[in-house]
Amino acid sequence: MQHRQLIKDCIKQKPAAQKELYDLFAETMLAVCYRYTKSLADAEDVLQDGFIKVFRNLSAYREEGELGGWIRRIMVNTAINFLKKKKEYQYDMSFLNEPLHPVSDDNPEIKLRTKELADLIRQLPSGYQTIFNLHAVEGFTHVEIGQMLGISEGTSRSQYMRARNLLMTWIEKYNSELKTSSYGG
Amino acid sequence: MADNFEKKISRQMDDFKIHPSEAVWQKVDAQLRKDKRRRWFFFLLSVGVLLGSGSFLIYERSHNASAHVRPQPVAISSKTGANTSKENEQLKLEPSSSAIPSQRNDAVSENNIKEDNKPVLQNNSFPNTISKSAAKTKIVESNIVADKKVTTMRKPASSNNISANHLPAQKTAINSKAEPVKKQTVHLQTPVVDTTVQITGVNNTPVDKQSTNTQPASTNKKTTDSATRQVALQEQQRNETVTPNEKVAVDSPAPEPVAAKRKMQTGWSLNAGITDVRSSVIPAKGFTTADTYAIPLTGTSGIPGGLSGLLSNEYSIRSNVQAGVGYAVRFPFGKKAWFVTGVQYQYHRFSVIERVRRDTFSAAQNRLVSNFSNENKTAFNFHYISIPTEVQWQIAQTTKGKLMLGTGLLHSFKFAASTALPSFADSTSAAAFYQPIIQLTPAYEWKTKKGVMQLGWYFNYGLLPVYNNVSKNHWWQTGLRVQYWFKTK
Repeated sequence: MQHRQLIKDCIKQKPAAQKELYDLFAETMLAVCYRYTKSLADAEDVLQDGFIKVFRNLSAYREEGELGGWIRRIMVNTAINFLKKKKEYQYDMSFLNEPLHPVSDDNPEIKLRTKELADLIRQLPSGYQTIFNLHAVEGFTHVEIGQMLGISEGTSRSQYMRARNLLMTWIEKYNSELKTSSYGG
Repeated sequence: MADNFEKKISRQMDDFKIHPSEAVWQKVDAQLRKDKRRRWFFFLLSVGVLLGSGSFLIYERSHNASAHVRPQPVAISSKTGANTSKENEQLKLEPSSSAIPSQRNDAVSENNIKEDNKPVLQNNSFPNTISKSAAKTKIVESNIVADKKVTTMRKPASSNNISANHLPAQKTAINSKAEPVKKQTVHLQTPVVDTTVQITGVNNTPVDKQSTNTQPASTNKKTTDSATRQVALQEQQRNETVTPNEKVAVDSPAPEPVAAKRKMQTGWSLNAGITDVRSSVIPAKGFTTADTYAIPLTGTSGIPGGLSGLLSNEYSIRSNVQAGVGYAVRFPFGKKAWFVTGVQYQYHRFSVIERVRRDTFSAAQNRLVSNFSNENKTAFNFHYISIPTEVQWQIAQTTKGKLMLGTGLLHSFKFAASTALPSFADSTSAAAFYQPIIQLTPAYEWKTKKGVMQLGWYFNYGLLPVYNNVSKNHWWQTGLRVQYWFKTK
C-alpha cells in the first residue's frame, strides 16, 4: 500500500504526517461534503468532523481497500449525520411526495462543468439530494441507502427516481438555454 | 441505458475538487492536540488511580501481616538469689512455655482447670477494702492476643524495678472468680508483683490464667510461682545479660498502648480563596509596562520632527477568586501521617486591566504629563481537573483534636479556559495544560459524630508559568480548605 508509512506515522500522531494526509485528501473530500450540503461553510464543518474521525479511527483501517475510499465513506457518513442533526435540513428530509417530472430524454448530455453540476445537485431538496448522491455518485444500493437513512428500500427507490427526473429536467433546460444563447451569440 | 446517466454523473464528480480554507486544518489540528492532551490526562489519571489502589492494597496486606506477628512485651518481676538460681536450673530443663511440666500442671489443675480441660480463665480481684486514694495505683491492662498475652502497664516512673523480695508480708486476700475476661484493669497497691501468663493444660489445651498476687499465701501461690517462673524463663532467654546470682529485676520497658488500627478514609474536600498570577510569591502592585512606543513630533507640515512623548501599553493583574471541590481519599502513612489523593475540580480566575499611558512634555507646566486612556478590564477563567498528592503530618495533638500540616503537589490539568473578550481567546488557549501546584496547608482536625472534620489554610504556588509562551507569571493562591473524612467501618 502506497500510504502505509503515512498511516503508521499518523497513528503515531506525528503532526507532519497528519498534515500530509489531510493535504492529500482534503480537496477531494471537501467536494464530497459539498455535494451533500447546501453551503460551503457546512461542507467545511463536515470535512473538519470527518477528518477528526479519520485520524481518531485510522488504527481501525485494515488496508483492505483504498485509503481514499475508506476516508470517503467516513465523510459520507459524517455528512448524513450532519444532515440529520441540522434543523434546516430536516424539513427537506421528510421526502415530499411530489409528482414525478416527465423527462423527454432519459440520458441527456451533460454539458455542465463539474462545479455547475455539483451546484445543480445541491439545489435538489435535501432528501432528493442525499439519495441521489448516495446512489448515483457513491454507488450504494437502495437497500444500503434505506439502512443508512432509516427508510424503506421502496422509498429510497421512488425518491431517487424523482430526484433523477428533476435533475434531468434541469439539465435539459440548461442545455436548451445554452443552445439558445449560442445561437443568439 | 439509464445507467449511463449515473455513470456520467459519477465520472464527472470524481474529478471534482474544492480547496478548503486554512481554518479547517487549524481546527482539525487543534482538536487533535486536544485529544492528545486528553489521552495524557486519562492516562495519568488511571496511573494515579492504579498507584493509589495498589499502594492501598500493599499497605493493607502488610498491615494485616504485621497484626499476626505482634510483639509481646511482658512485665515481669522475678525472684532472685539462691532460690532463683535453683529454680532457674529447674526451669532450664523445661523446654518451652508451650509444654508445662506435669507437676506444675497439677498445681494449675488443682485450682483452675476443669476436668473437661476446657479453657479456664481466672480472675483474681482485690477486696473492696483497698482504698484507691490511699494506694499508689498501678494500672495493669492485660490484652490477650491469640496464644500470647500482652501486658500493658502505665505506671509512675519511680516504680520501675519491682522485686518479689520487696513484697510486704501482709497482703490482701484474693477473691477467685472464674470469669472469662479478655481485658481487665486492676488497681494494685505498690509494691506489686504483676504476673500475666498463659499456660497450657494437660492436653495442650490453652488455659488462660491471670493471677495477680501481692503475697504468695494461698493455693494460687503455686500457680503464680510456676507462671512467674515460666515467664521469667522466657524473659531470661531474651535477656542473656542477667546473671543467676544477681538480684534480678527484669522489667521490660513499658510497652506503649496498642493504638487503634488506622484505616483508609474517604471524604470530600472544599476550598475557596483568592488567586493571582505573579512572578513571585509576594504580590506586586500597580501596572506593568508591556511595550512602549515613541510618539513622533509632527510639525505643521505633517513631517515627523522628533520625539514628542511616549506611548505605553500597561497592564495590571488583579486578584480574583479560586475555588475547588472534590472527592478525596487518605491512607495512613507511618505512625502519624496520611497520604491524601483524589480527584478535584478547581476553578481559577484572574483579572487583567489594560490601559494606554501617554507621557508627553508639557511646556506650560515644564514637566512630563501622563494621560491614561482605553482602560479595559478582562477576566480570565480557568477550569482544571486536579489530582492531589499530599502528605498530612500530625505535628501536635490537643485534647480535642490534632494540628496537621499538609504538604504536597496538586497536579492540575486544564480542560477549559475562557475570557470575556474574544480578542483574548488565543491567550487562554496558550495557558499551560499541566500545572503542578505546590501546597502548604496547616490545618486543625477534630472528630465529629460521623467522621473527622479538618479546617485548614492553604498556600499554593504554581511551579510552572501559567502560559506556555511566558517564562514567569506563576499562580499563587491562598484561602480556606475544609476536608471531611468519613469514619471507616
